[in-house]
Order: sequence, then C-alpha cells, then structure tokens
Amino acid sequence: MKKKAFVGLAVLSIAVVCLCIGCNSNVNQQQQGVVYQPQPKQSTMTDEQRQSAIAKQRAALNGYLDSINYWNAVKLTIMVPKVTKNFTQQSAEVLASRMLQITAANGIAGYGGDPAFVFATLITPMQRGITSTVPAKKYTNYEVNFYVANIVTGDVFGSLSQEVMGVGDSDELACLNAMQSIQNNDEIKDLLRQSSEKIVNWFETNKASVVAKVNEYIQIGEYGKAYAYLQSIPEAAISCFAFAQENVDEVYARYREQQSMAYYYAMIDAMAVEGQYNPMAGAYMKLIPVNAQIYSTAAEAFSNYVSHCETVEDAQRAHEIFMEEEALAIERINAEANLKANEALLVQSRSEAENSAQSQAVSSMDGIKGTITDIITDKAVSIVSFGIDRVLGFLGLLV
Amino acid sequence: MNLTQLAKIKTNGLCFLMLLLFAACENNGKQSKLTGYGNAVEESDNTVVNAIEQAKPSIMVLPSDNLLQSFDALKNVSINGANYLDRDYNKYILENSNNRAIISAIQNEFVQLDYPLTDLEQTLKSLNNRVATNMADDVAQDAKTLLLQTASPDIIIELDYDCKIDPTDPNFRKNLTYTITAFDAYTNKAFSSKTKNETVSDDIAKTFSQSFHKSMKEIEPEIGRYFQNIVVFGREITVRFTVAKKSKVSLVSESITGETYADWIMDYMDLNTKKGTYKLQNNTDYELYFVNVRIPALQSDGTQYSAYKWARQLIKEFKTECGVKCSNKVQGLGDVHIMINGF
Repeated sequence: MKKKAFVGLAVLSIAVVCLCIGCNSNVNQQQQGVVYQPQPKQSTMTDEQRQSAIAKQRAALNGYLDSINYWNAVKLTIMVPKVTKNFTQQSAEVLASRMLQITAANGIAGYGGDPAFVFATLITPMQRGITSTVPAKKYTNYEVNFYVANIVTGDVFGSLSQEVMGVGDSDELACLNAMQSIQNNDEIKDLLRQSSEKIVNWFETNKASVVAKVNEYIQIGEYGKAYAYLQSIPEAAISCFAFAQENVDEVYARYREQQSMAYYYAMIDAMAVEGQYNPMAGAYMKLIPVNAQIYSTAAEAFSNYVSHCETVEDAQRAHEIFMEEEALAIERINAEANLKANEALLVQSRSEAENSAQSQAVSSMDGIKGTITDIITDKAVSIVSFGIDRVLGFLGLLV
Repeated sequence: MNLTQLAKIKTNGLCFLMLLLFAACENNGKQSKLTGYGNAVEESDNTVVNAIEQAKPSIMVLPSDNLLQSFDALKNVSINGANYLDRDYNKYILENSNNRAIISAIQNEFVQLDYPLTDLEQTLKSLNNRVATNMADDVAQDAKTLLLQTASPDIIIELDYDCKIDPTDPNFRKNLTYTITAFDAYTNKAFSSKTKNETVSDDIAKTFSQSFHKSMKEIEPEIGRYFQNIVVFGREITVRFTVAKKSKVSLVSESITGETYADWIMDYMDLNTKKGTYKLQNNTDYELYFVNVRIPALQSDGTQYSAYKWARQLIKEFKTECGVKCSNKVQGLGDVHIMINGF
C-alpha cells in the first residue's frame, strides 16, 4: 500500500515538473521576440536655431501673394465652351467663374470692353474611365486650351494648354471637379501678361483702323458701340488712348441723347408704381440730357409726378436717402447701357468675323493656328449672353 | 473558555466568512458588465511586439462580380471603345436581405476569433460623410486624393454564392453553393479558398451560417499561416518606380556614379529586401515594377518597419548618393510607389 502511494506520488511529481518545464519553455520562447523600445529622434538644432528657421519659413510662405499687376487696363471678354452632353451648364458656370477670378487676380481691368478681345477656353475630354474601387469612381482627363485672341481679325495673342483631371461619383461630378481644379498659376499669369502687352501694341500699331471704326459707328448713329469701343482702349496705348479721351465724353453724351426717349418711357414706367416716390423715376430724369428733344416733356411729367406723389413730404424728409438711391440707380442704368453696348458690339464682331475672309485664314502672332475659328463659331459662348442681371450681380450693382 | 463561548466564536467566524464570500460574489457580478474590466490588464510597452497586431491588416467582405451581376448591381460600360465595369455595392446590399445576413454571418465568425472585420456598408456611409465634412472644412483635395477616398482593405474576402432549386431533389429543396476566397489586396494572391455545397433547410442565411461555421475550421489555420508567413519571411509588398512627366531624367539615364538609375535601384533591392527576395516584372525606361518583394516587419527597436519607411529610406539614400529627388506615394501596407522627380 505504502509502495503504491509512493509510486503515485512520484508520478504526480514528475508530471508537475514536466508541466513547469513546458510553461517555462513557452515563456522563454515569448521572451525571445523583439521588445518595443523605440528611441526618440535627437535633434541637432538648438531652440534659437529652430525658432529662427520656423520664422524664416513662415515669412517665405506668407510673403507669397498672387501678384496683382494692373496689366495696362486691357479688358477681355470671357468665353467658355457651349453646354453639351459631356459639359454641363453647371460646369460652364464654374469655369466662367474661375476665369473671372483669374482675370481679376491678374489685373485685367473691368469687364467686357471690346468684345473682340477675348479670353477663351476650349475643353477637350482626353480620357475617361471607371475605377474598380469600392465605391467605383468616374474619372476624366481634360485638355484645357486657353486663348487670348481678337476674334474679328483672328489674331491669337497668347495660348496655353494644360491638363486637368476630374474625379467624382458620376461623370457630371468629375467634370465639375475638373473645372474647380483650374487655378491661377504662373503659366496663366504669363499668358495674360504677355497677351496684354501684345494687345496694347496692337492698339498702338492699328490706331488708324481704330479711329476709322469709331468714326464709322458715329456716322451711322451707333453711339453705344462707339462708346464701348472707346472705353476698351487701354491706357498704355498712349496715342490711341489720347484719341479715346478726346472723344469719349462727346460720344457718351450723344449716346445718352439717343437713349433719352428710352429713358423717358422708363421714367413713365417707374412713375406708374403706386405708392411712395420711386427713386428710379428721378434717376431716369437725371439721365435725360438737358438739350434732348424730349427733356421738356419729361421734366413736366416728372414735376407733375412729384407734386401728386402720396408721400411728397416723406420724399422731402428722406431726400438724402433718395439721392443716394438715385445715384445707385444711375450707376446701374449706366452699367446696363454699357453692357448693352458691349452686347451689340459682340454681335457686330461675330458677324464681321463670320463674314470676314480673314477668319478663315488664321493669322497668329505666336504661330498658333487653326483654333481661333473654333472660338468664333458655335463652339464658344460669351459670358455677356448669360444675361444682364447675372452680369450686374457679378458687379454687385443690383438694386 | 467554555463550550458556549467556543460555539459563539465559531458562529461569528462562519458569519464573517459568509459575508466575505458574499462580497466576493458581488464583486464578480459587477465585473460581468459590458464595460467591466474582467481579467483585462493594460499591456505594458516593454513587452514582446506582435508584428501582425502592430500593423493589423483590415479585412473586408466584398461580393464577387458574378454575385453583383446576379443582383443587377454590375453594368458593362463602354467608354471610348474600352469596356469598364460599373459596380454598385449599395444596390447589392439593399437588394436582398439575405445579402446583409450572409456578410454578417462571416463577420460573426471573425468576431469570435477576436478579429472584427471592417464592414462594407458602414465604410460606404463614412466615405459619404467624409465628402460633406471635407467641404465644410474647406479641405484641399486633388484628383488623387479624391480617387483614394474609397474602402481600401488589406485583405479582401470575396464572397460568391448561388441558390437554386435542385431538380433532382424529390422535395425540390434549394441548393446553396458558395465560394469564399481570401486575397492579399497588394499582391492579389489568394491564400485561402473554399467552395461548399449545402441543401437549404430553413432559409439561406441560416444554412450559410451553419455551413460557414464548419468551413471556418479550415479557413482559420490558412489565415493563421498567412500571418505567420509575414513574421517568418517578412511582409510581402509590390514596388513600383515611375518617372514624373516634368523630370528631365529617366531610369536609363546615367547617374553621377556612372551606372544607370535602374542599376542603382537593382543593387539597392539586393541589399534591402529580406534575403534578397524580389522579382522584377516590368522594366522600361519609365517604369520598374517589382513583385514578391519581402521586407522585414519589425525594426530592431520594435517599431514598425512599414512599406512607407522602407520607401523613405530608399528615397533618402537615392538623394544622398545620386542627388535625385523622389516622391513617396506609398499606400496602405504593401503598395509602394516611388516617383522620380529629377534634380
């Protein structure tokens, strides 16, 4: 019995010892792996050196500003591709907005001007596809060609080609994303700067034809177009600009006189609004030249209106406010007139370009050929034709 | 001390012991809450590193193209003469309640192994949310950033199943056939694949769940071997060298050392891969593409030796020895892309 107990105890002891060795072995195995003991990086810079380097880098980055150079007051009409199946209305609007921002950042003064001088883009989809990711993404690679050109003469003052890629959950979003990625960069700045210089040079070397054009418009009574053309001459084109300065006031006066009948009827419409005194009526009245044929009739009607206005006393008490509103209204009307004149000039220019033999045989100051005809034909649409209200919205002059 | 006093002491002692026991039980009951610690103890930093846990691959269940097609969630689109497949994963998930249930059954098996999977549906939702928050934060995004706003699992478990009535069955019961394949997303290698055939008893999801539970006994060791393979032989990655358009050098240009840049890269691969393990697949003037590249998973100090770090080291040496600048475009655990930008 005792022997059996002894044997049993011995077996048990051996089993326990084996178990312990096994566990120990496992522990040893685990302890043979790599222990996490990272060494932090030692910097070689002192605190002063670091602060100095940070300040230097900060100054270098913050000092970078988009250079806004007033490029000789050249004005360019912006043209974007027409809406198609692959190029939506929204994409066109985003592209137009981007181009406006770019031209403004590069000091392209004003908006519109001679619509013959355009800053246009042509968008060509190069490659489209769908990824095999989760979720799938649509992508499109576009070639964007920028041009600064005279669409009447066919002269290309500058051109630039860039590739942009758009990615989105749909083809439309990919296109929109691509348009949003177009930024003002050094290449576009160079394009606009060089083109502006060439345009100034063009005015200087073509003064005779500019003068002839303006006189032609005056002779046929197109004072609005003559006015728009004179306004578009950049200041840097010295002799041409001098001619513009000599004649612009007179042309504008004749334009207003020409418009006086339209202003008169507009004043009558403004007066028809019931209730309080309408400052638009006063604005239109002020725009009718004193020497216009309709002036006396208009003055009488206006005087009658004021006397019968329900809130004449209010009008007198709030005279200063109305004066401000009238001034704003006058600005709006002038801008509207300017834009209408530009629109008329654009139609004129297009018509001339389509009829002109020169638009077929492209001439180029940079040796770029073949694409200007795309701009002046149905592939392009001018931002001017988006609508007067929208344009005025851009200018912040909506009353 | 008389008998009565002895009895009193014994009774008091017994009561005290019972109180202790009760308190212990009470404590145990409190630790059984969801947020209770149980036996968990925070792991100390100075312990042996588990290379797999340190850079834990994300696993996601994705339906195969065949399965997407059967639920009308796959379209063949022709663009400029090339054919592309347009996959709609949201449609697949919403089309049939079994689809979600089957994915859930697979995920459940991995949860039991303490390895939760990345959920496809939740990932798609969070990607959608990210688009909105990026807009709100006015985040700069280029085309590449937008392209990579996708689910990017490191291991893909591809699911394919079909359920049809068995014409030979006298009761016309349904026959469920499914295939589960596990791929490495970087090397595109399948390291586990199982095809099973089951007769549907109650519903498809239940039948699948029961069958997959049995299949998991075969799948689990295969996945385990895949992870061990990383520890023993190093992490397998793909390496691609490309040249930027604006670069004035190519891979066959002569470097300042007298050899071409491609030769320099080949020598580097010999010295900086585990036991020189790599295979050159593509060799052109503008691309070198290596597959089956093995790099160590851990550094000597226990920190991760990731694909990004490997590329970073190469770029540094390339610049030091040859003066050439490169961009590090590594993605995830194993997709190395180094772009040569020139001087």
